[in-house]
Amino acid sequence: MTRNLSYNASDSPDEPLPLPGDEAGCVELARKGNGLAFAWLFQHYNAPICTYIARLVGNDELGRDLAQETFVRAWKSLLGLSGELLFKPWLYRIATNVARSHQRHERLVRWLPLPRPEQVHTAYRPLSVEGPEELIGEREQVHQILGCLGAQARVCLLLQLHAGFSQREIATVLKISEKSVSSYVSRGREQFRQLYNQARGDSSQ
Amino acid sequence: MKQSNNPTAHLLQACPAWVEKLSAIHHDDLSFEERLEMRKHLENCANCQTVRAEYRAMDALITNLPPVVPLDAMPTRLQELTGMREELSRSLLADDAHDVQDEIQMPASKQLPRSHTRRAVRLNLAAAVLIVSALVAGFFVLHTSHSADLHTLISSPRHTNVALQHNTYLDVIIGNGRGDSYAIDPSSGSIVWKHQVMTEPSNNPFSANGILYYSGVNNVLYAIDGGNGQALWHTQLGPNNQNNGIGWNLAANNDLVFVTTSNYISNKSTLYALDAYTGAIVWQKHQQGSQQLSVLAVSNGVLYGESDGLYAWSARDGHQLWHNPQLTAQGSDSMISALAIVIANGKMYFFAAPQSPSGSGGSIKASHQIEVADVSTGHLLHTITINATAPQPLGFAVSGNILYAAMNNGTGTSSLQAYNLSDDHRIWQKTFTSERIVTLSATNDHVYIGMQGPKETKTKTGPTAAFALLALKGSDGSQIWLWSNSTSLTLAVAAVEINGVVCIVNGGVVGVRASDGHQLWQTAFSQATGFPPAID
Repeated sequence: MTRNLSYNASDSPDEPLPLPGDEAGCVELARKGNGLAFAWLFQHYNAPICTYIARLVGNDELGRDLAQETFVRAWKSLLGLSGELLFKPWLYRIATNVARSHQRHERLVRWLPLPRPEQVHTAYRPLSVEGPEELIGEREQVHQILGCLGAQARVCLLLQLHAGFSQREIATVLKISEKSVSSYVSRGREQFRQLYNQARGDSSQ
Repeated sequence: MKQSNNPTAHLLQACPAWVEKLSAIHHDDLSFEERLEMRKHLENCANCQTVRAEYRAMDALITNLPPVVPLDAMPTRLQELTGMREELSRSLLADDAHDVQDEIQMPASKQLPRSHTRRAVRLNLAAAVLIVSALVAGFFVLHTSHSADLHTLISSPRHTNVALQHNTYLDVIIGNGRGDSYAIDPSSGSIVWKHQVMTEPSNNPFSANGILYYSGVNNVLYAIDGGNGQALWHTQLGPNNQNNGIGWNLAANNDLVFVTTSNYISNKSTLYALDAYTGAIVWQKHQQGSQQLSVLAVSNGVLYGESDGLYAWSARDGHQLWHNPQLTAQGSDSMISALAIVIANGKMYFFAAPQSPSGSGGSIKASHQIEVADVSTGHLLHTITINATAPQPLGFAVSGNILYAAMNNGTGTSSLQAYNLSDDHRIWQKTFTSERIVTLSATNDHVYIGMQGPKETKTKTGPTAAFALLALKGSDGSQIWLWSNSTSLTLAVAAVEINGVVCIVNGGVVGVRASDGHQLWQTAFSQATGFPPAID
């Protein structure tokens, strides 16, 4: 049975932990080597980081493995880090780099090929949110289309939608210009829209 | 004609100058001026409107993908690095000891007064299911047609900040212990933002002036920007232990949010006024007594509350304006999504509290009247006798100049009564053969009433629907449409109209066109449950 870590300020009588939700306080303590504070950060970001990386690499199990690596790197880098730190963008930058590094060196991730232009269905079908039954059948399609997007566009789109970052924050995470981020998210959405309509057209034939 | 091989040929294209801006979803992605310009452009450009709607639908497809199962626990390697292996063992042992302590203390909690026990039940339920509230600030800014002198519950000075007008979302907060919250675009059902507080909710969420307030079981009040889901602040209200709790009701005006806490052992309640934008405590008042202090509403700079009778305080500094120990509001039933009290035209409407029999024994006498008090003095003006045999008052809704009161009749029927707020005379009354009313809301000339197992939905070939939402004409109670489904009711259900779409929360969220009841979209949330919508 899985059991969550409990958070109890009385565990550290000399240095009371900040309240759950006080991320900045936890980060400050974690930087000083407080494992319990980092455990809270892990608990807080475990699910979103796993999901983010899994979407990025197109594989849930691999996403969890790379999330482990992300948290290990974060802990190691956090110790002794000085200066102002915005933890969330910093953690997502590590996660992005871990995923990219994996894709670059291991080459284990296979994406489905881009649909051919002649497969495009010409009837106009606006996007819509379907009921839960249709969504289940659609999930695989969405995963496939995400995999077809350009790497940088996919990263920007997922940082925007899953992590909730603004374009400025994404620029900070990826160390690129805000203008580039705007262009990537726009390009990613447009590409997704085309592929999705194309796929729906195919499936309806 | 030669057919184009271009895969994008059949798709509508956005204007090149706007195509990138249509992908902006975060509040900070566009400047205030850019947002205004885009709004003007969208009003006149059907293509950009369509493309943006498709982008939002696409976003929903991606964000609605089921989350990846996270790591079971902190990886062993990380536990070793952080020294948490030892800590974790210690923590689990401490948890076990705590569980035993909880069991030992259980009999004491059973001796709590009835109201406290009810709250404990609510807390347990809230922890187990989803909590949903409707964030309709923008809707009311844009569409309310209330007369100038009519101030409804929690409605004091209307929000006028244009930058927050996009808060026309339905907020879904999930009581899964992590405080997951989502904002849903009522036009498409797509998820606009999501936020995680990482704390179990203790009460209904509450929203006002574009801010979503969320009470945690750790006695922390969290404020979330309703426009983008970003955390604004959080404030600890009293000690974090099981003897203390944040009150069920909140109220807010443009600058302040009002909340109470109670210590169930010492019977000490505290009323806080917090700065809505920083969470700083502006003033606080303490009160001793077995009757918990609770906030009812704020209107025109006056805060109304209840403890041993009704109270009115200056919202600005907490100075007491009046106290009438003879008046006690019953409050709305905790299981219905409706208002407990309505303030309109300088009057306060509430169901009279049930009368306890004198001496010991005997049953509590149900309330048969709506009491109307003067908000400036607290004096009872008159009472309205409820025309029902054994009424169990449920709650109110208000729109325009009509007050709607819902009640169960105790005979397998329930009823809805409409009153003219100018003279407090009844306009019409409808009786339904339903098991219970679960939600009541009103907008413009529509009143929406949701019922469990209404016999009206039974057909010759099919069974009675589990749930039905009736849209009635506010002026005469005539039926406009009926929407029903067979989904079993969750703990509580909510239905509220936002921008011409009625959002029904029961398990998942369904969008229904307000004009004819046609279902527009459905968004799945596992175990979603509606709680009374907070309206500002």
